[in-house]
Amino acid sequence: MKKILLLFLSILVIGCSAVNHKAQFHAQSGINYTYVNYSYLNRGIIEKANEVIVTDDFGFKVVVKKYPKRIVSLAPSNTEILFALGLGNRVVGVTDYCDYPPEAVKLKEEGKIESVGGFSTINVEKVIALKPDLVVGAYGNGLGNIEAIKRFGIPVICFNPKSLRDVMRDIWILGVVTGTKRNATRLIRFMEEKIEHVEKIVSHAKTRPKVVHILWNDPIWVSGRRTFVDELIRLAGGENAVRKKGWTVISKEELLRLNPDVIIVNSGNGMSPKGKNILYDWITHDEVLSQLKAVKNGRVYVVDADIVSRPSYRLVYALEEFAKFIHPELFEGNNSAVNLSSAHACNLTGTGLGNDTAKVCG
Amino acid sequence: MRRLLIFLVFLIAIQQANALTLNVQGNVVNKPVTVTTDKPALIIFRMNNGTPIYAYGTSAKFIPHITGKLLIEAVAGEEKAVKIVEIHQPPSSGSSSGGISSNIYWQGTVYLPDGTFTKKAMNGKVYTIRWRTALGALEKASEIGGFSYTIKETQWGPFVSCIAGKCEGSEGSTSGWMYWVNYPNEPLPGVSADKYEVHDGDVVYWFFSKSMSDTPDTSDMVIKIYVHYASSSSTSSESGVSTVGGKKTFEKTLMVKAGKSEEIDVNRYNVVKIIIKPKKSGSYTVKVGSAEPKVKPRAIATYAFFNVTVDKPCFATIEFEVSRSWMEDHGFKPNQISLLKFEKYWIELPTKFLKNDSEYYYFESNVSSFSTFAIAVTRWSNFPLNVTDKPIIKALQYLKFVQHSDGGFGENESNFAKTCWVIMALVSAKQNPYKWVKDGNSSVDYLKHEIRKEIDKMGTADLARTILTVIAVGKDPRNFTGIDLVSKLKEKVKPNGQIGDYIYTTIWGIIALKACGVDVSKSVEWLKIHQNADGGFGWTVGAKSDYDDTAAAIVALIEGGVPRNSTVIKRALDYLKTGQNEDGGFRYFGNSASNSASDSWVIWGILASGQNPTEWKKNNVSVVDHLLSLQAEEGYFKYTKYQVSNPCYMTACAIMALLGKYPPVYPSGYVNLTISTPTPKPTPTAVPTPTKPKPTAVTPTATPTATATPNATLSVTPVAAPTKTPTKVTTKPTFRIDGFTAIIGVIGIAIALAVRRT
Repeated sequence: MKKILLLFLSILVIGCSAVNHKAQFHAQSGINYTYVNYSYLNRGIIEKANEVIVTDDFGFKVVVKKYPKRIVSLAPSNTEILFALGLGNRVVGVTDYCDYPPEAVKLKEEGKIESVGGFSTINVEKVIALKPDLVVGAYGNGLGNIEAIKRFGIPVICFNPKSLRDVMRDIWILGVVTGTKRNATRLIRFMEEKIEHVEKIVSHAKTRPKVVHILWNDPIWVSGRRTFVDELIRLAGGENAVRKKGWTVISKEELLRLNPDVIIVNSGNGMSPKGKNILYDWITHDEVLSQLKAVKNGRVYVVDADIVSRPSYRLVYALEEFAKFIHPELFEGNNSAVNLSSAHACNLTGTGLGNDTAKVCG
Repeated sequence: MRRLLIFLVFLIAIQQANALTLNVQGNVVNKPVTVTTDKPALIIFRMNNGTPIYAYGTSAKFIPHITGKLLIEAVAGEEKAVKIVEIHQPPSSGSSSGGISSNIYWQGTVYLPDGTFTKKAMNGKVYTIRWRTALGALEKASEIGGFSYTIKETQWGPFVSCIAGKCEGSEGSTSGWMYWVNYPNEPLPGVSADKYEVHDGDVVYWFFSKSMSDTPDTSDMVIKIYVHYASSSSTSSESGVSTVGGKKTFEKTLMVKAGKSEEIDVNRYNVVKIIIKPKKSGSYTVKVGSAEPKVKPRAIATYAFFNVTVDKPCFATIEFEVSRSWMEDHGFKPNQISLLKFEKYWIELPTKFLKNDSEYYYFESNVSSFSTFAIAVTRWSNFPLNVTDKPIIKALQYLKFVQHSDGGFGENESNFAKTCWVIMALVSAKQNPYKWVKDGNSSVDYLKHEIRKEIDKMGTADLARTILTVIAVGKDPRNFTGIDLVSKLKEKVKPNGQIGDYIYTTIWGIIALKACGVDVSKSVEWLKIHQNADGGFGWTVGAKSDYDDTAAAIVALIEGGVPRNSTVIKRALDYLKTGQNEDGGFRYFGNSASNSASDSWVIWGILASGQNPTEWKKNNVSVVDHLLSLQAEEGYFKYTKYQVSNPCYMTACAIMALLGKYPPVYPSGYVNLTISTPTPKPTPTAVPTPTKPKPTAVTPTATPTATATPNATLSVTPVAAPTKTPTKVTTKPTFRIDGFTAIIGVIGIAIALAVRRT
């Protein structure tokens, strides 16, 4: 009976907290979300006077004292979000693969940020030696590594987003636990506006072209259903021709059978030495693949692997790219996505987007 | 002249006494001297005491190019015959004083092994040809008969251009070499000689045709080859080995009874004696000579090579010696010495230390067939582990546990790439992959069954890995369930030598193709020029060096023929050294944690370079110590100190490394071990990403509690030669949607890693 009472009380506390939080949130931002709703963002977040309790994507309840000053990021996507929230000066550790924004790279080179190892090969001792008060991990870091860090009493929040909405929630969680809600709100709105804009443009589309996204050629890896790319293709007014779930390998013959209208290939990650793109060259010069409709019609496009593969706010840049690739007819003339992107991004200058806005605004 | 006459009379007397008839016709410069014997014999020609030329059969020809004395010796068992012929300039009239009574240039019996050999065409193209073809018969005949032949590349395949100096076009534009099997009972073949399969008992005629209407009867020059299949234990010389010419070969023929051992004292070429154990009664001729093989064994040091042939199948024990001073100078102990036999690749034979005296250590090995042998140091005193050592037994127990009903391996379900790695690990541990059976399906059954589903989706590294696996199971990758994996991989070779689009694909392509006897020199050169300034290699052109790819590149380069002491290897090793972490383990890149995959790959590279990995230490912890520290109680190897990831693959790599093996792995006899499946089952986190715990879970426990007690009984079986031709990859990433953020952040790099590691 005592337990039931405690449970009931705790529900009340959580409920009150949520209500108060919502009011506080609206008061602070004055923004109504469109693509993601408020309760989704706040799911599993309990904010108290001196701490925030977060249920992360591992299902762990993590208690973070307000506000962390020494943050270690264990994924490139986390690093991108942390810097976009204006937390670059609180980040003390990142992975070997964290190469964005350029400010993060510069701080690494200057020795102001430590590299703590690979993605699944985190050097746990290095992380602990940095004495962080918050570690932002990812599902791919592996449970063993996360547990090892936790054993030292270090709070670790792990993300495992599966959609753009999940990315927005992760941004919001970091905003709450680090006291940067304003920037988090703006960043989420930035993403929403991009999405809304693309949705608005592609709503005029008369067709829904079949699209295949290729991320590797040897063997041929493509993005299937339930991937971020699948969502991006759908939002950009296309249809993912690959029916299988997840990333999957297909043969040339299967690719010929799919015969998509549009093919998007990854670039970056060292795949483009001397300005060439290996995947693009491969698909446009392969004798067998020359039969593909997309190749014949010049509908093979290159997307930066970093913006399409990392679950950070930069996915919306990939969305814009996808929309232009899939529906170029809607982006002709003044109504170009790039111009509109710049306008939106520039409005956010100085609110935490840092180097991204610099990139977009020129 | 008078002395010569007396000598000849004396020799004729010997000949008659021994009852081997030797007839010689011809004695003119640049005209054939034809020798016939009444029974198959080893025929030796020696012009003016020069280099002996050997032939075998009942007929042979020799064309002298200078005047002088031609010594002709024929040996058939204990019977010998010798003749000396004075070679003259042809008479001014131009008529030959020799005369040719037969059009047979050479005839004899060949024993064709299963499998293939390689032959280089005049334009440099290398063909891989099955022994049991009309061309294979010619190859073997040329080896035995001591004559040469050349081939040229045509759109139909290899075309025999010249045999014994007689070349196409030499007697008219339509003249050239033809072959005919079982003439005249069977029709003239309609396919190229490398495609015509010959059978036991066939007779192959190679004949020079002046016109298309010639036959073996009307031709002036005929090679007549009686074909027999060699049993797995028969004598066969290999394309990779050539006996050094010019040195006299020890030879002894003796009559023996079936089942009764006969001891032959050799006392040369480091062979003390050979005890033959004949299968059948009869005359056995044993020859021992020195050898200088083209393909060198993977060994720490090689003391000597020698060649042994016996004209009939039999078992034997070879007792050999190693100089004490050599052993002591290098600090080697007797338990480090092994006898190796070349059988398309070098196979280590169980070797027993017998005794030593003031000058030599003495050893013996049992053999079931004969070839070129190497006396070599194959292990250090502290490395590698033995298959019966506890870490290996435990690791095998774990692998036993992750075998599934279809015969394949994988943490949760069978996975083709992981099964390939596990098979290579099993063969490294002297396990017979055919006998690793679950619910009636062996690991090889799985391979055969699944390859059809996989083949069309395979990338370069996948093909290479699969080839290496097929080699490990002793099968022919040129025809594995009807699939020619080698041709498919060769299609990936670009004109500049690069294999696939990346450096890592080139590395694994070189290892696999070289193991198949393919000329990879161009690819090796391409790889060499893509060494980074720091001495390391990256995964693709322009990428920073990483330790995994550098280690693999060292293996590829050395397998591809680059000397261990070359600058490229030294620089790569120097770079590799910088990758050792404070805990003694190796990282892949940057500041990452030491991990079992990098440890294993680096050990492979160190081994390929001939160094002892236990001497690669940091803070007094070697890379081997570190790798062993990552083994869980349940037998599998963790990825890092804290992380279990892809344990099936990690365990496979670790087994190979700890046993001193690295790709390519060849079958070389099996050891029967009783591998018990642990109870309760070990359940490490099976996939690269952990399963999501219940929302209320605070401390998810994925730690298995099973303790596996090794219960191995050892019994060594005789070294079994692979039943099929083994000729000598890498990986498919296994991304999972539920663990999808595991790669989202670093997808390009993750793919590269996974491609090489799954």
